[in-house]
Parts: sequence; C-alpha cells; structure tokens
Amino acid sequence: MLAALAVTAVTRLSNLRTHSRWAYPSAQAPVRASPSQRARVLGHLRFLTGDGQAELYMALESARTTSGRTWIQIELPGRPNGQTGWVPRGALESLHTVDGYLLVDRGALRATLFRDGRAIFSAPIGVGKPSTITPRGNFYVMEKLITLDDPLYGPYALGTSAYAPTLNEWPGGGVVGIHGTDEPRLIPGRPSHGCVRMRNADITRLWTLVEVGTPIEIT
Amino acid sequence: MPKRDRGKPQSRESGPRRSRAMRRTAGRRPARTRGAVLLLLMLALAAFVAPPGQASAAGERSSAEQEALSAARTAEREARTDAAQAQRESEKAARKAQREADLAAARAKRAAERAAKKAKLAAERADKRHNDNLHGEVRFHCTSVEWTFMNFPEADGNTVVQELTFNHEVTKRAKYTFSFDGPTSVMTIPIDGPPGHYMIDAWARWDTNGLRGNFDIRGSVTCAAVPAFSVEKLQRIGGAGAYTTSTLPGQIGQTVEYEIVVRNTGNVPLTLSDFTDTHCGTASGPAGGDVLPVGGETKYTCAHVLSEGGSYVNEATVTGTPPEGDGAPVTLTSKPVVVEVPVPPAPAFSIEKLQKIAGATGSYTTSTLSGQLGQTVDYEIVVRNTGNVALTLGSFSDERCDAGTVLGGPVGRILAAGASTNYTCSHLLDVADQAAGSYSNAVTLTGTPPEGDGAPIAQGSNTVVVEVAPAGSDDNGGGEEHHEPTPGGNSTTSNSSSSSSNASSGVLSSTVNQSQSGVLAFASASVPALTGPEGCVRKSFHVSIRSAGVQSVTFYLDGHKLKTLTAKNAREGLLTIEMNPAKLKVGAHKLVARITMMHSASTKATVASRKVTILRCHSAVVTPKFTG
Repeated sequence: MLAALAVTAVTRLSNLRTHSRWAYPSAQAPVRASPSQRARVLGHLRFLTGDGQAELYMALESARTTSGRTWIQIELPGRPNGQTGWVPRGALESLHTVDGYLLVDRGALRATLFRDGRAIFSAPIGVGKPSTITPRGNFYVMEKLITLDDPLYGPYALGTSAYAPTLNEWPGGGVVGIHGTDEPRLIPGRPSHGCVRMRNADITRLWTLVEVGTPIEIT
Repeated sequence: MPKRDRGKPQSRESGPRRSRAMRRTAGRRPARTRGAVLLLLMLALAAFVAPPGQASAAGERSSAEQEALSAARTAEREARTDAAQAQRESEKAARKAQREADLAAARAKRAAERAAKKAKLAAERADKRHNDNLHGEVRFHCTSVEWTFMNFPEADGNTVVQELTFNHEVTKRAKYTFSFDGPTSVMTIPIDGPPGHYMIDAWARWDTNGLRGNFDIRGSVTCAAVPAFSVEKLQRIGGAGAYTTSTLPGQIGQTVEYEIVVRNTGNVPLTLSDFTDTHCGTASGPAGGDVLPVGGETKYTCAHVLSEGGSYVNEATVTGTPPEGDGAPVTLTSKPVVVEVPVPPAPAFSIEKLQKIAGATGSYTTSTLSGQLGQTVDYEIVVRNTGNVALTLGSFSDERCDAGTVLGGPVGRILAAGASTNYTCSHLLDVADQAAGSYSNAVTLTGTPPEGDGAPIAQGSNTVVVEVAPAGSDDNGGGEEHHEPTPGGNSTTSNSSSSSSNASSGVLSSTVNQSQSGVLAFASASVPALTGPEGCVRKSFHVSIRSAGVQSVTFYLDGHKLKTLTAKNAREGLLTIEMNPAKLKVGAHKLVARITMMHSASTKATVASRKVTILRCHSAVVTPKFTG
C-alpha cells in the first residue's frame, strides 16, 4: 500500500508500550486515508476536546514520500473506534514521548499502569454493562480533568480517545472516561455506561501517575 | 317444558318416555275385550230368537244363556280390569316422566344458580384482588422474589405478613414479617434451589394502621443452572484482632494471616479447584476436588511474612466446576487486600537528553544526527523523579547550550515523586563545531530530598551527538530521522566557507546565499523559529524568537498587531513578548511573528513570517460529558 504511494521510508514512532509519541495539532488539517494529498479525507484535526481541553493525537508512524514530504500516521478518535489516518508533519506540533501504557482488562476487571514495561500501579475497575460495553482496542489518555468529588465522577477523571460504541446521542459524543465513583461497592463489576470506574483513592493515584498521551489498551 | 295433566291417561303417541312393554300391553288388551263383548251379544241374540215350542230345550238354552251371560260378564269385568290397569300404568308412566322432567328442570335451575353464584363470587374476588393488588406487586426471579408494597398509609410501622409456597407444597412454605415506614416499600426475599421449573405462590396479609387486606399472587420461573460463588479474602496481622478486608498497617518482619472464604451462591454444587495465591505461603483448607454444596461455605488460610516496604497487595483465585451439563467452570479472584508497610525514603531521578535539528520535522531523539554549519540544534532534557520523595532540583545550567536559551523546569524547582519535567535549550552549530566534525552534549543535575530523607544526589544524562558536515559539503541534514523542507521552501542552504565569518556570529552571508539559492534560501536557513507554548494555556506565557540576526519582529494575534520589538529589545539572546490568555476566547488563536532580518550587503531587508498556535482551553476543573 505505502509502496504504491511512492513512500521512501517508514519509521515507527510508537510501540504503544514502552515508547510512544504524541502531538498537539498545529492546524485543523484534513486527516487522509493514506499519505497523499489526493487520498480520501477521513476527518479533520481538532484543537479542543468536547470538554474544552487540548486535543492530542497519538503518532504511530512517519512516512517520507519521494517528493520529500513527511507524513505522520495518527490514531483518529471517533466512531468507529480504531481509525487511523495520515496528516502532513507540519499539521502537528512537536512530538512528545511517553514510556508507559495503561492496560484495562475487562475480563479481570483490573487496570494496570506500566512504565518501561514494569507494572507500577494496579487497581480493580468497573466497566460497561453488556448493553453498553466498554469498547475493546487501542486508545490513549486525551485529557486530565479535576472533577472535585463530583458524585458521578469522583475527584479526578481521565478523558480517553475511545467512544462508547452504542451511545451515539450521548452529550459530548459518548467519550469513554476513566474516573472515580460514589458507588465503590460496584467495583469490581460491570455497572457503567462504558466508562471505566475506579475507587476514588485509585483514580487519585492513577491521575498523578499517568501522563496525557499515554496509550491505553482495552482487552 | 309444559306440565301434563296427571288425571288423564296418556295416549300411545303422547308419551315418548312410555316403555315398550307398556305399549305392547296397551295394544293387546282392547282386542281381547272386544272379542268377549261380541261373544256375549251373540249368545243373547240366540236366546231371544229361539222358538217357544222348544220348551224342553228352553231350559237347556236358559242354562246356556246364563253361562253365556256369565261368561260375558266375566269377559266384561276382565275387560274393565284390563282397561283400568292400562290406564293406571299409563298414568304411572306419565307421572314418572313428569317427575323426571321436573327433576331435570330443577337440576338445571340449581346448576344455573350455582354458576351465577360462582361468577358473582369470582367477580367479587377479582375485584377484591384488584383492590388488594393496588397494594402490592410481586416479581419472581430464580434467585429472589421481589415484593413491592404501595398505597399503604402514610405512617410508620406498616407491617405485612408474607408467605411463599413453592410448587404448592406445604413443606416448602416460608413465612416472613416485613415492616416499613410510609406508603411504599420494596423488599426482596432471596431464594435458591436446583435448576428447574417452580410454581411460586406469594401471599401477603396486612392489618396495619387502619388498612386491612391481602393478596395472593402466583407465578412461575424456570431456572437454568447457575454455577456461581463468591471469594472473599480477609487479613489480620500477627494473630491480633478479627479478620478484615480493610487495609492494615504493617511492619517488615510481621506475619500477615489470610482467610479466604468461598461461598456457593449459585444453584448447583461446585467442585473446587486447588486454591492458588501467588503472594501467600502454603495454604490450608479444602483439597482440590472437594464439593461445595449450594449455599455452602468453606475457608482457606495462608500467611505471609512482610519482607519489604510498600503496599503488599494480595488476592486469591479459585475455580469452581459445576456438574456436567450445568455450565462451564467459573474462576474468580477475590478483591485484593492491602497491607501498607512504610517505605524508607529512596530519592532517585533520571535525566535524559534528546535533540533535533531546529526547523526539521521529526521528534526529539537520542540518536546521532547530521547537521550543518549555521543550523541550530534544539535540546530537550527530560528529568523524571523515579524515587519516592520529592526532590528540589539544582539550578539547571548547561554549558553546551547557548547562553540564554535554557527554558523550562518545575515550579519552585521542586519535582514531586513520580513526576517529570522538561528543560529546553539550543546551540547554533558554528565553525568550531564544523572543524571538530561533531558537537556532543550531556548535562548533570542535582536533586536534593527533604531533610532526613537522604543526601543530595547528582545524575548525569546520556550524551547526544550531532555530526557536523565539513565545509563544502552539500549535505542538507538528510541524515536526520524525519526531514522535510522548511516552510520557506528550499532548505538546502549552502554554508560555504565564505559564510563562516558571519555564521560564527549567527548571521549568514546573504550575498553568498543569494548567489546560490536566492533570498528564499537565505530566509529559510537563517530566520529563527518562533517558540511558544503547546497545548492549553491558562496562565501568562512567553513567545520568543532568537534575536541573532533579527532586525525587528512584529507580533500579530489573529491578524491584530500586538507589538513590535527590535534588536535592542533583546534579552539574553531572545526577543520575547508576554501574553495573558485570560482575555482570549476559548479556542485556537494564531500568533504570527513577522520577522525582518538584518542585511549586511543590501539596503533592503529580508522579511519572513513564523507562526504558532495558541490554544486557550476551558478550566481543567470541569464536569465531563463522559458516558459514566
């Protein structure tokens, strides 16, 4: 595919485990299906999330074309989950690095944060009900929010790039968050509308440990 | 049916209920009577017509006549007797038929009355049930019966007596008494039983706070096999106190005792696996293969000696296997229990230096890069507190970075445990670097823990290297990982030896560049980049450009002119403006710097633009719109 597009070099930017790169957008550039100005447009980069925070994009690969132009493959948040696309290098600000990832295990009902391949935090979680499941796939931490002991979200919340697959009409588009709860007795369990719930002490700890741009794998 | 006249004999045709025997009798007897009457008449006639001279014969005839008359009378009597008998039988049959008809009518009437009464009673019961059901609903589940009481008096202490009967069996009946305050309450009675179909009768009666009534609601459930159980892990330290799920404080050397309680909460017996607990010593309890009956409970115990500081988290895993055909094995892990052991302070941090060629695409890297005379190397120094105490970082100075280019670092130079901070700086590759062939850079930083938490520590970074192309080389830095032309167009500025004198001062010779690549090449190679914040801005921030070679710069925000700075405004090699985002609307804003470069050999200055995007965000203190 890339060879047909006259790409001379492809470099992997993120392994989504121990070394990953992300960037803020510098323009509301179109995201294309392949590294070409003629490729189909899948969407556009956004500056702000639905909660008014800086939107960021996980950089997966870079490709340099024969014309000398460099493209970056990014994860494209939105439905359907798991979309990727390409933007010119200039459409993104500088690349930031993170060296960990967050594993959300829906089967074991547990979230574990790894740094440099070593587990540094683990806690039980609540995930989506069968009717409103927490989606499986690779995502990342989009934003860190302070929710001030909100009854629904606890003291802190993390916005992710994942979207609930069934809640199309949800305010804000149905973003899957990781947050606290005032119902800790439901954890571990499957009580949510798709979000990942944690006990307030656990989300407080995770919030201090995790950085924006940290990859999330939901299994 | 009309009534018959019991006083009149019934004709043969009139009684469909008359028996066949009666019909035979009624047909034969009138014929015999008619024969006797005829014989009698013939004898009388013979006596009347006999001649008078026949005297002797008259006495004989008279005797014969008497016999005939006697016979005639006898026959007549018999005939009358027969007729009377026939009439009596006919009347009897008629009466019997009438009686049977009357009985049937009476039975039908009683049946109709009973049906009407039953219907009325059913209607009354339905009405009563409706009224009683206004006070309650019952939902039947395989594991519970859920009762909802409503429309009760607005008073405390409403009391109902409940009774559950399964499959109409008295031996499977259970009684409960439930009290609640207010008009409405919901309560659940857990039930269990083996898989199968159940008829359940839920009956409730109340005479409380002036309200009296009852309901009887029946339902049925078909319950599949549900293999289920719970695992709860409890702990205590040193044999003291009761077992608990709470987090406990511990000390190194103490023994944590664990009790793992397994309860069969399903409706089928479970065969338990061997108990596994990777964080526990030898466990005691049921052997693998033991069967835990429905509702049954068993316990395992194990212990662990605390050997290091930190959070000691422990959880147990057990597998329960139901009988064949009743579902798949179930594996459960208990909720973890935690013992917090004080951790001795361990100050530590890491420092990593990364680099990239300014203006080139690609990320910061620790790899060796290729650069050219006149290019700027941007450095990023990532400092991460990898210990468990906060550190006060020493003053960051990097002699391999150009003066005045160091930015970043934590507020108050205090780096919290687990946190990281970035510094940036840069260096302009000069002729000395070109002569050396490369430029390497490393930095050392000190971190001081709080008093009593250890001694200050010094940490050195890795070394990053830029190989500098020798004079006359046309290498445009393509050796970098991700390179693309700079916005000005051609980035292949030729840094010939003739430019070296100016390059050492940070300004390239325009004459040389114009002669080879024109003004655009000059601008692309020498116009400095604009440095501003990335991501959300919520507090005042600075936007700056390196002042070397810059005659003046005018800043525009969303097309509106903000300020113009000239070379004489430079501080520490930078031309900087401060911006307050409080006046900005939420969203993205474009900040453009229109830069006029000094020009040594021309009266016309070179002008170029650089831009950054300023992102004004909402507060991070927000109620998100997540799905929850």
